[in-house]
Amino acid sequence: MRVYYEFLFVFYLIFTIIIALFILWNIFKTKKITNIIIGSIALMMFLIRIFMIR
Amino acid sequence: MKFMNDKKIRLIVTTCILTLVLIIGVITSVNFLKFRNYNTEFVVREDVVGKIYKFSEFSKHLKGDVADSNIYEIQGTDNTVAIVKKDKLANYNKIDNIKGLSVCGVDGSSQYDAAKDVFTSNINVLATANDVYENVKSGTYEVGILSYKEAITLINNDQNENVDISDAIVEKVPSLLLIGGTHPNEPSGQLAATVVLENAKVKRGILYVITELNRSAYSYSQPQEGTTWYYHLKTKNGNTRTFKYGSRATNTVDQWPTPDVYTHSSGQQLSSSEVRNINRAYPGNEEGTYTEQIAWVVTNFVNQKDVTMVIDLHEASPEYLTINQCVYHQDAADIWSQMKINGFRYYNPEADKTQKLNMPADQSPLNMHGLTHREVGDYTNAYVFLFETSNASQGKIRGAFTEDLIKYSAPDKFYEALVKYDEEHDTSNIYGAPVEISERVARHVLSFESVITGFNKIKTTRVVTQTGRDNVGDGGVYVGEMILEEGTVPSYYDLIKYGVGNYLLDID
Repeated sequence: MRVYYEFLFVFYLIFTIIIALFILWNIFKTKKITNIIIGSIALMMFLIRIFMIR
Repeated sequence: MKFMNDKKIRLIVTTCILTLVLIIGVITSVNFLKFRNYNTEFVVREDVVGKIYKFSEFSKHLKGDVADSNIYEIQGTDNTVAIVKKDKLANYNKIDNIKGLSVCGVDGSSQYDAAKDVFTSNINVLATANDVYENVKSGTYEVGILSYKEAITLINNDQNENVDISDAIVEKVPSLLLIGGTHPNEPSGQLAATVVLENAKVKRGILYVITELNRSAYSYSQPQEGTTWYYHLKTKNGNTRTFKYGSRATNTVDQWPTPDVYTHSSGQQLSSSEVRNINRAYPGNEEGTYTEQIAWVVTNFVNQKDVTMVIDLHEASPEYLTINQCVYHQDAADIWSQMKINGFRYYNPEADKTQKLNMPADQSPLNMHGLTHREVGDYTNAYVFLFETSNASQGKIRGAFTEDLIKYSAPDKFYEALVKYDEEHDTSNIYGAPVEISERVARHVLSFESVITGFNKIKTTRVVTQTGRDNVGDGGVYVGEMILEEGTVPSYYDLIKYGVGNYLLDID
C-alpha cells in the first residue's frame, strides 16, 4: 500500500510540474490580459502546492 | 486590447502581473508555513511531570515527523517505586528481574506493605527514606522501595545522580490517559487536557495526558471554512497564551491521495474525507496510512502501559445530535452507572450547595467502527469514554468566523436567533446551545473527575470484552483507587467563574 501511495505521489508531482510549465508558456504566448491574470494565479497555486509537499 | 499586440509591451505586462501574483503567493506561502511549523507551548511542571514519551516510541514511522507529539506522564506521589543504581537500569527494568535481589524499604510505610507481597526475598527494614537511598547508592542493597515522591526528591537533590527509578512495576496502580486535540477544530478538548496537565497532581495512580493527538491536523486549517488560525487566552498574571485552531482531518500534505470511499480495516465503508479523520482510524496500524499510524500510538500505548481508563475529549456543532453527553464502551457500563449516581457533582458557593450537571450518555454502537470508544475499548483492556460539548465555530449556521466565535465570548447572532426560535416554537433545531469556552472546558474537566469517581466506586477487576476479541495485557487484578490531590484540578464552578485562562500557567 505504501509503495502504491509513493508511486501516486511521484506521478502527481511530475504532472504538477508539467502543468505549471504549460501555464508559464501560455501566459507568455497569449494576447488576452485575462488569460495572463488567470494563468498567473493558477501558476501560483501550483507552486504553493509543490512547495508545501514535504 | 490593442497594446497587447506589441510583443515588447506584452512581455512587460505579463512579467509585471506574474511578479505581482508570485509576491502575493510567496507571502501567503510563508504564512501557511509559519502556521504549519508553529508549536503550541504547554507548560510542563518539572516537579510533577515525570516523563515525556514521544509518539514515535509507539509508532516508528512518525519519528521526527510533524505528528510526533508528546504523552506526558504524571506519577502519583504515593506510588510504590523501586530505585536502583543507574548502570543497572537496563537489567532491572522488570519486576521478575529484581525479585531475588537484596531489597530495603522504610519501616511502616504503605510502599513497604505493597512491596512485601511482591518480593520473594525479605525486605530489610530501614528507618528513613534517606537511609534507603544511601544504602542503594553505596551498593549495600541492590533495590530500594520508596514512594515516588521520596524517590524523585532524593534523586533530584543528589548531585552525583547515580541512582534512578526502575521501570519495574512493584505495585499495580490504575492509570488514565486523557486525550485532547483529537480534532484541532474542537478547542475545548485541548484546553481541558492542558488545564489538567498544568494543574493536576496525583496521589495514587498514573495520569497520562496528550494535548495534541493529531499534530498534522494542527498544521493547516479546514479548507473553505475561512477559520481564524490562532486564538488567545489571558492567564491569571495577564500574559497571553496562544493556541492553534486547526482542521478536523490530517493534512493532505502528509496523507495523499484521498480515495473515493474510505474502507476501514473492519470493512466498514465511509465517505472519502473520513480517511484522514483519526477518530475513524482506530485501532490504527503502524504500517497503514499516516492517520492510522497516529491512531496506532494510542492503541499501542494503552496496551504497553496497561492503561486502565481512556478519555477522549471532543466537541460538536450545536445542531449535532450527540452533544453535551458521554459515549462509553460497553465494558465501562458499570463505571458509567456509578458516574451517573456519584459523578458530575460540583459545589456552588453562591447557592451553598452541591449541584449536579446533567450528562446523558449513549453506549458505543457495536457496528460503528474506527472510533476510540469502540476500537480502543475492543483492542485494549481500558475502559473508554468520549465526551462532547457544544462548539459554535464548528456549526454550519454560524456567522463570520472570528476569535470570539471560537471562544464564544460574544454571541453569534444566527445561533442566538435559532435558540430563541426553538424556545418560542418548541422545536429542536439545536441540541446544545453554544456556550463560552470556559464552560465547555469545565464540563470536560468535571467529566474527567467523574470517570475517576465512577472507577473508584466499582472496585473492578478487568472484565473480558464482550465482543470476543483478543484480550491483551494483564487482566483480572484489582488495582485499587486512583486518587488526585485534592484541590489541584479546578472545579466546574471556578472554571466558569474565573475563566479557563486563569488556570493556564505562564510561559517562561
